[in-house]
Amino acid sequence: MRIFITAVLVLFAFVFQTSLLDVIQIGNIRPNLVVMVIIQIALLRGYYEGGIVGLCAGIVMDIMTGRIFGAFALLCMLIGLLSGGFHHRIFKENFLSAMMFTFVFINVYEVLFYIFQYFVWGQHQFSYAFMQYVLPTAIYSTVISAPIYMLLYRINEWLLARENDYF
Amino acid sequence: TLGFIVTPMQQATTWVKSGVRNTFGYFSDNQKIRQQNEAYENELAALQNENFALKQMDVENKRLRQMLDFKRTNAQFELVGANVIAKDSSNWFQKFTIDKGTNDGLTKDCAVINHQVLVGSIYDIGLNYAMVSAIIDDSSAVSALVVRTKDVTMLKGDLTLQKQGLCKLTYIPRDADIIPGDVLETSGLGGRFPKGLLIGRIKEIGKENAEYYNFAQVEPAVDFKRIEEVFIIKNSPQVVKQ
Repeated sequence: MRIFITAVLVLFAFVFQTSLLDVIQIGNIRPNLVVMVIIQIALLRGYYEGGIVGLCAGIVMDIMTGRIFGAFALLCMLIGLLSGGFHHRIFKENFLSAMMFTFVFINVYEVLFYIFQYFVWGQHQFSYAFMQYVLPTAIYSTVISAPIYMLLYRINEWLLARENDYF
Repeated sequence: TLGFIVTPMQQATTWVKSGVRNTFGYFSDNQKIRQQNEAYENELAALQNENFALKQMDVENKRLRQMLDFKRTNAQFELVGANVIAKDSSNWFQKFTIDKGTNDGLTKDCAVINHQVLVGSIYDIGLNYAMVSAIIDDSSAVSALVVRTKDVTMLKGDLTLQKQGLCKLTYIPRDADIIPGDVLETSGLGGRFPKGLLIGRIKEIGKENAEYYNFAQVEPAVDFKRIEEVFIIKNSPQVVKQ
């Protein structure tokens, strides 16, 4: 049940990000919903599940964007593993700490993306890329992460209650 | 004599009667007017909605008519219409997905246009979808011809310009007589895009001291923020060979 619900959440996040978030873009910047969901699931469930969710979400993005297979998968898995490492160090009820981690790890994700997509191929416009792409994406994603985290937290609590009843 | 006495009395009685009637009539008419007003307001709202829908249909009708006229006047192209259904998941790229694929006879590298204006090309394709790379995307490169001077140059996407919806014209010879406002179209070289498709206009020209060639900022003729429908030239490689 947990696997099914997580898969549906990631799929919905991807579909919304590619089809619907266009409507709320500000200055050509859309929030990164998929990476936000990966980070928040990792914070709630730990690095093991965060890494797997990141890997699977990244594979979906690789298939649907038609570029080099594995790039998104590895990057998202890394973000899932890193953010899952803080699973035992946050108050999960407090959405502000989730927002803070979302901001930090989306920055990490976008910087790594820029490095592997542009910097290693000779495009050295880091300050422009950071100010025009990385930071605005992180800020916008953080602003909308609070309701998303509350939803994921409630779903996680419901699933935990079901699993405790089952066992 | 009797009439002389009775007539003023009749006038007075009639005056009182009409006064009373008007007073009572005021309250009953008020309710009727209120009901009528409500009915008119509902009718007005319905007509306004209908008017808005008709205006939307008129705009769509004009757009589709333009696309149909384009299809008729460019008979050498086998055109397939498609809708844009999704954008790239990342903010870094200017790519989008359309709802036609190999089932509709499309192949990789087919040119994608909008009212005779170049939009991009297909870089990945499935059975019922295709992914298009726009000309302003960083990975895009198109051989472009300056219509006025016949200079052949290269149009590329640029990370620093794509957010503004612009792209970069490179390999402009130093002695080329190119000015802002010059129109660009596809040159037909390279084997991917048919000749003569409008690209856009030169916005600004720049010079790099260490480089042999100049460069320019190009404003494409298509608005990539509002693109909804496109045409794909199914037989673009064959048309290019002709």
